[in-house]
Amino acid sequence: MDIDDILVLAEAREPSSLELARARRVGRMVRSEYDRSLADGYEILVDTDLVDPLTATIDEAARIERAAQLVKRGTITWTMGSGKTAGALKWSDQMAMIFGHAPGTLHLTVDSLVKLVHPGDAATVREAVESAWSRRRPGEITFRAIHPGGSVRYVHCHIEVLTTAGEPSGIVATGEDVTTLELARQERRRLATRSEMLCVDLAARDPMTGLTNRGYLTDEVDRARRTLEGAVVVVATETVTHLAVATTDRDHEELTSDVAALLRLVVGPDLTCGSVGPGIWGVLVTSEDEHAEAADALALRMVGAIRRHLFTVGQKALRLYAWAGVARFAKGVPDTGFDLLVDGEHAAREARRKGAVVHVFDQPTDGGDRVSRCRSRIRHAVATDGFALYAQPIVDLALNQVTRHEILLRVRDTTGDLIAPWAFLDMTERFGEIVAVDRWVIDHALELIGQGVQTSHYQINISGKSLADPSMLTYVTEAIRRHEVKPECLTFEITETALIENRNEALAFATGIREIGCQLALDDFGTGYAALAYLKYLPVDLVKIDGLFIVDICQSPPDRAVVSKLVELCHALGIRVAAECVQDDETVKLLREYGVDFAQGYKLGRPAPITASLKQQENTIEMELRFPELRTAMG
Amino acid sequence: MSAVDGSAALIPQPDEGEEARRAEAGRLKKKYDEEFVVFTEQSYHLAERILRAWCWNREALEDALHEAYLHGRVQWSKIRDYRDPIAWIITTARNKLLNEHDRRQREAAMPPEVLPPVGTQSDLADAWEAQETLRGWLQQLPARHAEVFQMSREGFSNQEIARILGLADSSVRSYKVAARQQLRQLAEEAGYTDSKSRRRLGSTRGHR
Repeated sequence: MDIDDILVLAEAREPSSLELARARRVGRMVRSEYDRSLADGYEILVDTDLVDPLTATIDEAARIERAAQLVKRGTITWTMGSGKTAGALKWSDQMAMIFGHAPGTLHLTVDSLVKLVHPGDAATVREAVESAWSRRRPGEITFRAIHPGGSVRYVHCHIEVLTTAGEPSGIVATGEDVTTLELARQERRRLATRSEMLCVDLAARDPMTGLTNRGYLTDEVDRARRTLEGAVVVVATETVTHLAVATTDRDHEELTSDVAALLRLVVGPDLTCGSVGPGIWGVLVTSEDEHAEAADALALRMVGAIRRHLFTVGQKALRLYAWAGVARFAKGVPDTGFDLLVDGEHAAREARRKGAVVHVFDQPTDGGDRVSRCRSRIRHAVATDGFALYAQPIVDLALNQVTRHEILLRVRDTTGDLIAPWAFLDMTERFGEIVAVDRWVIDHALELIGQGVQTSHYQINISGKSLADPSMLTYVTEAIRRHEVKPECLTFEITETALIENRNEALAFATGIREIGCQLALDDFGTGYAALAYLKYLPVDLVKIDGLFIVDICQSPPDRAVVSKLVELCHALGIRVAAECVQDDETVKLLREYGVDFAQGYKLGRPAPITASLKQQENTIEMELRFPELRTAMG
Repeated sequence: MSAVDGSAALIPQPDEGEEARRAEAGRLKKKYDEEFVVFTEQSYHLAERILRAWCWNREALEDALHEAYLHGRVQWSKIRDYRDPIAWIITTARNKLLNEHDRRQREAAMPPEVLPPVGTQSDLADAWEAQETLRGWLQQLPARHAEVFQMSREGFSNQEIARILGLADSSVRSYKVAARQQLRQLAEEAGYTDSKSRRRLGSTRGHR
């Protein structure tokens, strides 16, 4: 079936009985209305010309002008002069008003008409007219007209060719002001774009585990404690045997995602379950969840499930220990969601210490105790070097080779395994101990770098909070001098998970650090607290776009829009751009297209330990300062 | 709307003349009423089909047509002598619709999903379905293309179309060609591609 068949089929249709009835009804209504007007003596005004449209003898141009006038459209007619006489250009009163002129006040010439059209549209208008004329074919065009006051209106015109005695003799344009329509159209387009570009809040869900992340869980607990009573259940896991040295990050990820899947099953879809830290999981139970079991029963079930389950990592089977802590809270407790989460973690540690399965706090612990307990844990970690430094290669996309490394912190957990630091850093920042940790990192990183050949460029993280410490700049300067590090090999990345505490101090640090020759970067740009104003007054050399915008960039038009424009913006400001979480070659290709300067991600190089021991000061340095295998970015 | 003839004034007895005139007027009115009912019943669907080709607000369309017929009745004494009174009705109804400026602009600003649904890929079973599908496509065309196309299907000549719609004579053919091209494209997009019968649709409706 094609259009011709459909047209034929449609022809065959005769009006249905209902439709015939409608015609009769109209006939009757017209008649009764007419009779009423006669009886009541009122006149029905007829506003259409009383001429037979089919037989009236009238000049074509005049006919079109009149038809347009009746429907409040304006016309411009341009008739060709024959021979030497120039063509005549005129517009109707309605058209003059569409262009913002009182009728009869402007002598219309081609030049004066062109001036009334927005310069951006003049060429298109000319082209439309010329093409209609030369091809003897009607056309249409929407353009902007400039009113005498300078305001702009959208005008739509049909352009037609007039004929006299079979020969084309002129052009007539019938037009109306379509500003309302055009604006509505633009708004419709905008809304369509907006809904297409609007994304769900991916930040709330961890892509690896499918559970909510720490920040989301913290917020949910905080929301609950304001209006409800309930409990936070925290489950901590630990491998029964140390994972062999050969285990990779990927093995850890596999294990994490298996545990998460198991917990999702045990907890069910109704409760908020999230990751609290590496190997630590939290569930929020509130009085609102009617069918929910008691928090301690749930804790027992979670621990039991994990302990019974046989996990596999790589080819090997593996069992996990698990303990649970329960922190109950009453409605409206003053302790924040973060506090309650910390309590839950503490309870889980208590269970482990006591050899119990579950430990329950019936109410939030004392605020002061909590702070001092956590601070002492942090200080203990710093004092006993409970950390290690890893380095992750960064690829220069222009040179297609690794030219930089980011120094990353790893935290030693209770079993001595090195784990990702995000939960630890969150706690450290919140309890105001970040300066100590940052100092540890700076001192040890610079020491390692100083021992090496310093051929790469190193990027070291420093918390926005630490910048408020006035002694930080001196500390860094001193460490650089002490470890004989070339300052030009260093970039300090200001992490923006926390607000820059003191703007003035941060500016002093930033300025000072650049004066001694180091560079400055903004980390996690686009998701943290970093305002665009920072780009203006902080002497930043590099912006690292948060992985949130990068991971899905190939499939996500909004991400592409943000990244491409951010690159443009930064380059205009003299700032280089790095992308985090680059996961495949396609992304590399796209980023290179956008002009991104550096890329970093597991595909380009995973973080690997800087194995140099601090105690061995000599030889083997080059061996030990072995950075991860250099990979060439394909693309 | 009884026209007073100049000769009527010459009749010496006004009462008698008045009465005769009234009887004549009554007779004429009855005649016109009957004529007009027949005209309405015969022409209504034609006018409706033509206007629906581009105006999908049925309510506004029916109001406009109703008004046009009422005006047609008021002026029937003149219009009945026109070559084809429906041309005048269409012009009048169309002017009314086009003059409802604000309303039309708001209509056009509606999101595309509000547009009437377009037929699915399965073969159209009957004439009604074909007509509805066709109308769905026509309403996606520029208004001028759609109405010119529909009028030519209803048997109007190019010149008649130009005069009723207030277009240049030379435009009608182009609009028709453009409309057909776009319809073909819309049909193909909807999956109607293979022609069952190779016969061309040459003749027009021809009911007039």
